[in-house]
Amino acid sequence: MIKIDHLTHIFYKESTKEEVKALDDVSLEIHEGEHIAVLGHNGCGKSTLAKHLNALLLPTAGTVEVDAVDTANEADLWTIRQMVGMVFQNPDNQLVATTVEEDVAFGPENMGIEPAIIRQRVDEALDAVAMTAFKDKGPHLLSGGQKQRVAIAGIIAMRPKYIVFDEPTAMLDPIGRQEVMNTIHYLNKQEGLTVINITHFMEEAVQADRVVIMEHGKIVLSGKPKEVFTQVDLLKEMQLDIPPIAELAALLHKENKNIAADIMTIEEMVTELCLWK
Amino acid sequence: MLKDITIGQYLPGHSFLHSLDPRTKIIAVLIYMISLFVVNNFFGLGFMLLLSFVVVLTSQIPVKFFFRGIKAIIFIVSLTVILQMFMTPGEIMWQFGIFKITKEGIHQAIFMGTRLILLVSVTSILTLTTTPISLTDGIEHLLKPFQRFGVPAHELAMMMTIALRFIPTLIEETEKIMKAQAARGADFESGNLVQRAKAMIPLLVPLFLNAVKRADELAMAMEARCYHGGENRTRLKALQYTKRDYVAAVLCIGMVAGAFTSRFI
Amino acid sequence: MSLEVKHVTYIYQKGSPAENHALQDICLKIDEGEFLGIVGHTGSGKSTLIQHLNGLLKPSEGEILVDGVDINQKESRAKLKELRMQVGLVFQYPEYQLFEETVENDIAFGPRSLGLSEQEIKERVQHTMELLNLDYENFRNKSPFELSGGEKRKVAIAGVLAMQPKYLILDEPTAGLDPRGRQEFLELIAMLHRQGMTIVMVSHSMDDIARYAQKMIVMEHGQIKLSGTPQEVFSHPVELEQIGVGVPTLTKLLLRLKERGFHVRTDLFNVNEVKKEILTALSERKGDTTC
Repeated sequence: MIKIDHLTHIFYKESTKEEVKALDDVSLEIHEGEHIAVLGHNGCGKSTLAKHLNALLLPTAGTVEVDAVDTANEADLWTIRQMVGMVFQNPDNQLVATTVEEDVAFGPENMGIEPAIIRQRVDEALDAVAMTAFKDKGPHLLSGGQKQRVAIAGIIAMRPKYIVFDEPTAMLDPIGRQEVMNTIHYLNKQEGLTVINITHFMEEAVQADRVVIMEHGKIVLSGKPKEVFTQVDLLKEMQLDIPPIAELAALLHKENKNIAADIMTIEEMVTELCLWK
Repeated sequence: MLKDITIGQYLPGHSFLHSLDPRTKIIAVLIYMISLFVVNNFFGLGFMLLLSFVVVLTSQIPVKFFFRGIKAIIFIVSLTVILQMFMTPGEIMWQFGIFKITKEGIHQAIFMGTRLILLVSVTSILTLTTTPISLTDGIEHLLKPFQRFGVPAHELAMMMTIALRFIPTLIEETEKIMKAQAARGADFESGNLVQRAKAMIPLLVPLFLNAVKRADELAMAMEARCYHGGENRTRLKALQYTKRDYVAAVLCIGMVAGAFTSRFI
Repeated sequence: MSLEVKHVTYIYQKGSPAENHALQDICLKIDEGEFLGIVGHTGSGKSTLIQHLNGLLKPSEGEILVDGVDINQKESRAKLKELRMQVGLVFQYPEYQLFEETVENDIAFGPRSLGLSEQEIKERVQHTMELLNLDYENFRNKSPFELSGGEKRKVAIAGVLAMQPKYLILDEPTAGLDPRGRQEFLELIAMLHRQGMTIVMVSHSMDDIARYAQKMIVMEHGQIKLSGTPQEVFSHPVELEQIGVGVPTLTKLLLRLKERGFHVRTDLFNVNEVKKEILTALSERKGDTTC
């Protein structure tokens, strides 16, 4: 379990010479095997939150504990980074090596693992993201979605328990986005990894177990997708996108109370409407 | 197009040279260079020429790659040859006014020209038969003993790897920014030298700033993947000498011995 | 007045082993005042096509006519530059092209290259900034690099708009923005269109295209596979699915409902219209239990 307890993070902004409270008394528990989506506008603090989970940033106040290990404890730094993997937004700026296979090996190499075991882990990781066929290719020859899958393989080769995705699909086209989301689901459902997905895309959030919405460094809304996305007026006020089907469901519900308001997907909507036909 | 530039081009293959340890190849090239400058007569030069020819054949690399490499340095070679021919003092063979060609000059010109061409061809075999990764690995290993004298072996190797990784990305980005600025009326092609240099600012500033941003993000990603320098770091492909490397070592000793012997013929 | 693509073929790296028909015999006419959406995969030829529209790429065959004049002909080069500037092209992530020390100078780069007077340049910069809700006095002396992501992008787009193009081409103008920024940019583009500017927008979002475009083309393998109004194009869900671009979410829903026996129109994109249509269909069919 990752336990975030009254976390506040203040940083000094060079350009305006003022202190900014990026996170303001945030508390959150992330359980093993969960898939959490974190939503919010740029500057709401969600990336800052993410960077606290693997000690890339340390709290100004409050604590973050990964499996009861405090991230502020310097002696445990590498254990924490191994347990909590992180995939970033720009697929280009996180691949280090000149071939796919060498890049996936980068994390395990840093951990000082035996070459034979690295080999095994690299092969398994590439298999899990379906990139084995590209293992000798240079990263610059891959599409955005493929690069991002390599980045994910590089993380799973480190055998983490948690993976934080910091807007992993923001720079991808729809096909790349689908590839990456399929991979994330596979890791969560089949491999049992805990997934924290920071995103702008509501379609992705709908598929999570839990949705957390942040604004001005605080968690403003949290719950199952069905609980969160039915609060259409509140979401609109925050200028967040609402999944089109959820918006339609809310509108239909207003006119006809028989129709449920907590419908998120096309399939659910078709089934529901058939009931009332 | 910028994309056609290939730095340290590598050609995959399965030749004897491809399968050698990169350390062996780097050292062999150094020994080759020494031998090339040890020989001082036509017997020696012939010996090296023959040897180089065998090495080229062994590499199984199409000859056109060597011609391309030679074409790239043809200017330097011609300049060297001409300078040697006219500037070396000695027994005059032809003279037109102040220009005179000496016997020693011709001798020197042939030697320097051949040496340069051989040098470029054989060094290019090193990059053509070795992947950039194993090349940097090899350099890192060879420099390791010098670490105690303050040579940052691991850091140098890491820098080379990252540079190789990002060259294609930066080339692509250069093309993109050039187009974007051209769409705003930037002109990279006409004008005098000063104007052209000035026209590069809209290209270079974004390129530099993006590179800084990339470096920042990459550093963060590397840290997140437990990177903490070369200490206790293992490698996926550990370098290991095999029988072939010992064979190569013996051949190298033969080469340098041959080169020295040739001086006494 | 129109932007016309006549039988344009573009061969990438002609004669090399990587030779590739990036565009094949493309014909397209964009009338003044139109809003055209272009959709297709990465690699379908969209980017290659839009780079032809302002002369950044020259067709291997065929011609590009801006208001009836071929922009790639050799005669009267000076005039051609002006003609090309009639077509403003905003690339993906345009904020990566910012380079000047101040916002004002960066926006002025384009107009300056047109050789306008300083007075005229200043007026244009001011006008463009206000058009995009960037307060002139507040922003003019700021460094573009200390702005937020959305503001940077506005400055970059202003740099193209300040050349006062008649035709504005945008390659995925909302990529990488947050929902608020995305909404704001789409509204800005719609406003420019209302003011009479011709808009060509490349987008991956079928929902956005359905909402804003009057006409659209779907590209695949360097060819135009489908074209027409969004209503017409999205009435070919099978083909679109095969090309892999899909249809807007609500269209998908309406199509599924129709399959299941609902009497609904499938050419509606607005959520309120769809709501009405569904409610009507429900009330009409009350008591009928075949589903």
